[in-house]
Amino acid sequence: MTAFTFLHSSDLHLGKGFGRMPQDLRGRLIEARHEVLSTLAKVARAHGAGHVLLAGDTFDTTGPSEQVRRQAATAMRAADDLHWWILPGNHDSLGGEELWARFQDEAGDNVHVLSRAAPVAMAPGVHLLPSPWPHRFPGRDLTAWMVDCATPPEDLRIGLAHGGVVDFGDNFDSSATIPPDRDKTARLDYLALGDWHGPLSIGPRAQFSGSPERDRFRHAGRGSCHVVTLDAPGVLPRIEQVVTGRFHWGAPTLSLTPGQDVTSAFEALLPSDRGARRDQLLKPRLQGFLRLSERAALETAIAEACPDFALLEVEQGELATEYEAGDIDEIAPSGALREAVDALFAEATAEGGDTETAELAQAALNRLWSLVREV
Amino acid sequence: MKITTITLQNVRQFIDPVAISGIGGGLNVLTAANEAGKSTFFDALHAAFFASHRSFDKVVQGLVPNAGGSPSVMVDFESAGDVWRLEKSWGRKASEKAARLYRNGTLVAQAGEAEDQLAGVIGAQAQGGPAGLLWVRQGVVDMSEGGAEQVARRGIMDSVAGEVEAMTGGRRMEAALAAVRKALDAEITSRGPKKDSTYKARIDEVATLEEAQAALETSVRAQEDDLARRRKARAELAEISAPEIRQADEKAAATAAQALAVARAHADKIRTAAGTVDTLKARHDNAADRIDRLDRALGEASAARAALDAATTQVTQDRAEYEVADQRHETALAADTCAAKAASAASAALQQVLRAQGAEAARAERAALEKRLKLADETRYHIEALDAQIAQLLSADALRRLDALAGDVSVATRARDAAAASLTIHYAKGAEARITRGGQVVPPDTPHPLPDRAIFDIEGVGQLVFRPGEGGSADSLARAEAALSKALAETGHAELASARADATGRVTLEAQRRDLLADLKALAPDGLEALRATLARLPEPAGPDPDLPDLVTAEAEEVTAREARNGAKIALEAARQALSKARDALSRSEAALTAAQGRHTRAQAELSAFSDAAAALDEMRSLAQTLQAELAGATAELDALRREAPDLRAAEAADKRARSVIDTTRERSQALEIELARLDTAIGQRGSEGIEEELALTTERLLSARAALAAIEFDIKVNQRLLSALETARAGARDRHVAPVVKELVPLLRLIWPDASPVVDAETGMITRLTRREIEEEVDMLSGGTREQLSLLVRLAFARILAREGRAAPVILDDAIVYTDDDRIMQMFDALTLQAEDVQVIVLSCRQRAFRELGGTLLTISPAAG
Repeated sequence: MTAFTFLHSSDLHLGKGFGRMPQDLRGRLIEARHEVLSTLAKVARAHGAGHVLLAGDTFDTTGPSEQVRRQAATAMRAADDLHWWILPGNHDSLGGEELWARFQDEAGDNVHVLSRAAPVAMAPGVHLLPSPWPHRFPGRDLTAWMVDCATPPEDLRIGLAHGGVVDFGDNFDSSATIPPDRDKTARLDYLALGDWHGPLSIGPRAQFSGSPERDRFRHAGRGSCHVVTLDAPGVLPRIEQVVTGRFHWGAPTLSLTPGQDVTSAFEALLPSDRGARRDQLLKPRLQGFLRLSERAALETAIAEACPDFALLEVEQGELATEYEAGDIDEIAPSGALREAVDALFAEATAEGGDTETAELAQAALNRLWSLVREV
Repeated sequence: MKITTITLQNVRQFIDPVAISGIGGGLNVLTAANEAGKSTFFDALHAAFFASHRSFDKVVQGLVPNAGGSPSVMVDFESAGDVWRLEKSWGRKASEKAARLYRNGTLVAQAGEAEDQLAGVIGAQAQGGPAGLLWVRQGVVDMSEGGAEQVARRGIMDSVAGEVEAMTGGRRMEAALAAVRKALDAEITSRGPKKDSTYKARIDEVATLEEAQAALETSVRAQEDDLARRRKARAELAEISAPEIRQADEKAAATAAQALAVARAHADKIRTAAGTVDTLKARHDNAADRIDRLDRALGEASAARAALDAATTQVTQDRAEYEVADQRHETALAADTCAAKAASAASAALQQVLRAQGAEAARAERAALEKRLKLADETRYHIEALDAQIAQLLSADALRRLDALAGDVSVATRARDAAAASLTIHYAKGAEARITRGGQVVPPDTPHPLPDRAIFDIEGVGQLVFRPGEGGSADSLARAEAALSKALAETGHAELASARADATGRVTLEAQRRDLLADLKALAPDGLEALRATLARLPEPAGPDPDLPDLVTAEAEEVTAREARNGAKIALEAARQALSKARDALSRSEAALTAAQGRHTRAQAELSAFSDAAAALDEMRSLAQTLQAELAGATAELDALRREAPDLRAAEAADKRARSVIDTTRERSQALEIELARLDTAIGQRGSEGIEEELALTTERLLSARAALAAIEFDIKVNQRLLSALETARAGARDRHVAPVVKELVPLLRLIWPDASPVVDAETGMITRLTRREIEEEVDMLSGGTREQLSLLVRLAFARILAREGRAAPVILDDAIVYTDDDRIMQMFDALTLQAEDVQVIVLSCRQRAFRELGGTLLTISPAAG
């Protein structure tokens, strides 16, 4: 038997609106998600794969806009040299009857919506065992049927499923957890999994491809897919991860300490190629302590870098201000202003006090420092 | 600093040198009348310390005497253990401008240098410095003077309370406060979020998104519900449309229809058998009926014959009895007729007698009536004659008119006489009756009016002719007399007396007429015509009948005849009743006979169809037995069919139900298809709108908006916290800042108001509010006297502060308590005395009597020595 190569991807979440993003960025992110379909097609062709397996959540909801649905169908139909095997996931379960009925009508014969948990012959000697989500909360392991599904022993068995092998959070339905050894119990040559938006290997034969275009900071980097080649039944698959995403997402952590060159430390987090920053969404999480002047320097550095990025959102919730006598004196060495500073400082540094009160006092103190610094 | 001597020359009214000397360290008082020069000293002293010698402004010019010249002031004072002298003069010319400062007798500086050194000695600053604060002119009541005063107070407070920065926080505090307030003002007002602010925009955005999210969630739920309904409808349609279900339904319907046909055929058999039974039963019943009727006809024929015979016998008997009664009735009738005639004749006779008697009475009545009528006619004739006479006589009304006119004449006459000349004659004795008029002696001693010409005859003298002139009264009398004459002429009388006699006659005649009318009324109450009619109605009288019996006889005969008639009537009535009874009995028996004849005829008619009724009756009874047997057989057969019959109603119900299942399924299928079409449309519509995608987007945007709102709210809280901290710190600093002033001021205030407590403004150093007897008042609202006292006490407090700092400055008061009454002024003296323990106080006042009790060193203005 000749080797069988296919592309494994998942979680395209077409139609995702990115409502928490700034308005101008939102459109770019949405467009990137649509364009990833053609990217996947190119990757498949480039690797000689005639089949694209989408392991769930192709659409963000069971009710995408007509535009999103039809343009997706059109893109897949246009790539008619490929077979698109689409598994409904928890976000776009078969409960979205209208979605799938219309999509199937609009897509070409090369697009296969897998609506039944039954083996499908993808190619001669290759059987696809899909586990579509009947609705959002199935309450059971949808891959259990694969164990008893018989196919000729000399044929390849490819499982296609959506869901976690562990708790992934985000509305995780624990009752639908897929056993980590499902590839073994179901005698699968490869189990293409979806739901986890980053690439994750459960075993040599069980893989999460991750989303081809990232959509959250939880999974750093750019989106990718798996190009899988099965040489023969029982033989370990050959898997190649191929980058497909346009936007780079990152949420690095930076620990800061007083006396540190804050500006340099912060800039070290950023890509040196300023041109690449346009397609980067960065959400650094700062920790530790800074003195008032250092904090001001950090704010300056952030403000300086911000326009370069698609998004630069610095989380400073875990970054505290360390006040020294010099800092306080810098605001006011004496007098009424100093009394105000002392009162705020006492609140900001009180142990066992109310957290919100302390946060307010600290922020007020920082602001006062900024205000008087300019006078 | 302590001033010891002040010397002036060429200052206003003081051309020659004058001085106030012997000024002590405590309280000093100069009381003098107005125009004595107190204010001149004050102004000159003030100029010496605070006006540049190079100046020749209005203040300095005000010191120049009217005669001109260069004003000069010399002040001796002590400061920091040294004895100082300040000499200063002003003028237009440079040579006249001078300033010299001596220390311990040695000139230490001149001109500008002298003034600079002086400022250092007395602690003066620009615009007067702290010392200048303590110079109080007449009538100063304002607590908030600006300019130098305020600066001076600030200077004193700052010097005792620390740096200005300590109180205000300086520019940084102001900048921070301004920035924070500006930031807050941009977002909120005292009532909440500010319109058109970012904060308000975020709040609105969250609200809008929440509303949109709720609407989308509703749509999504509706979509999910419709999808669920569609799945259910599709499943149901698939189930009821399944071929095996349809075949089973149709098979069940065919089976039910077949069972129903069998049941209906059996039911037809039963109906046929039942018809046979009914026919046989009818025939049998008919035969039985005919037998019964024939049997009863035979009985009836026999009974009718017997009844006919009995009725015939009764009729014969009743007819005989009737004939007897009829004869008796005829006899009684004849007797009654005779009696009636006799009674009638008797009655007629009686009537005739009575009529004869009535005719006599009528004659008498007629005669009386005729007599009355005659009298009445005569009376009426008399009345008519009287009426004719009366008509000729004067009526009472005409007489009254004549009397009235005569009255008018009388009145006119009296009026004329009253107005006319009169003649009164008093006869001499022996000459009585010698004067006559018209032959009549003119009575003596009585005025005789002479309206007209009058002639008096005087015996032995001749005639006295009196001719009066014309007078108005004669016209009235003439008119009255003319009217009377005319009225009399109209009545046909020449004199009133005849008219009155005429009227009197008429009255008499009218009385007679009334009497006659009364007579006529008595004779003919209803009038003559009625009386004539009554007479006409009376019968003509007839002559008497000599054959008539008398009334008694006629009445007896009539009674006898009437009683006989009554007896005949009774007998006739009895006969009539007997005849009636007999006639009734005969009628009844004849009717019974007729009925019996009819009954007999009918009975015979019933039997006339049969030649032999008895044989026919036997034949009928035989036929009835045959039919009875046939009926029993048919009934048994019917019972058997009924026992074997299937349940037709059950078969019909089963058939109906089977058909209903098919119909219901078809209808349900149609309904489901319609429902599915509707759901497809609704789902498709929502599917096109991408509501789930929109909901996901809206939810994310809402989270983002809420986060942004939370960030703004946190930012506002930060600003509020910062503002609170800054304001609290500054308020605390201000309280501490004014504390030294309050400390000095309170004992002074309480000399006047035992419980007084001031609020001192940190910026101006002045009292802004005063609490007395637990009532806090704005100083601006207090009386002029109170404000004057407060103004002075504040200055005394500042003087004490300066003294404590070693910068003692004299307090100089130029009639500074002019508004204070005599009671309160003693308390002010106490305050001054208290302060004068370590502060030099110089009081200038014109109130010599009041200030005598102030005590202290008494000062005078005297020519300067040497």
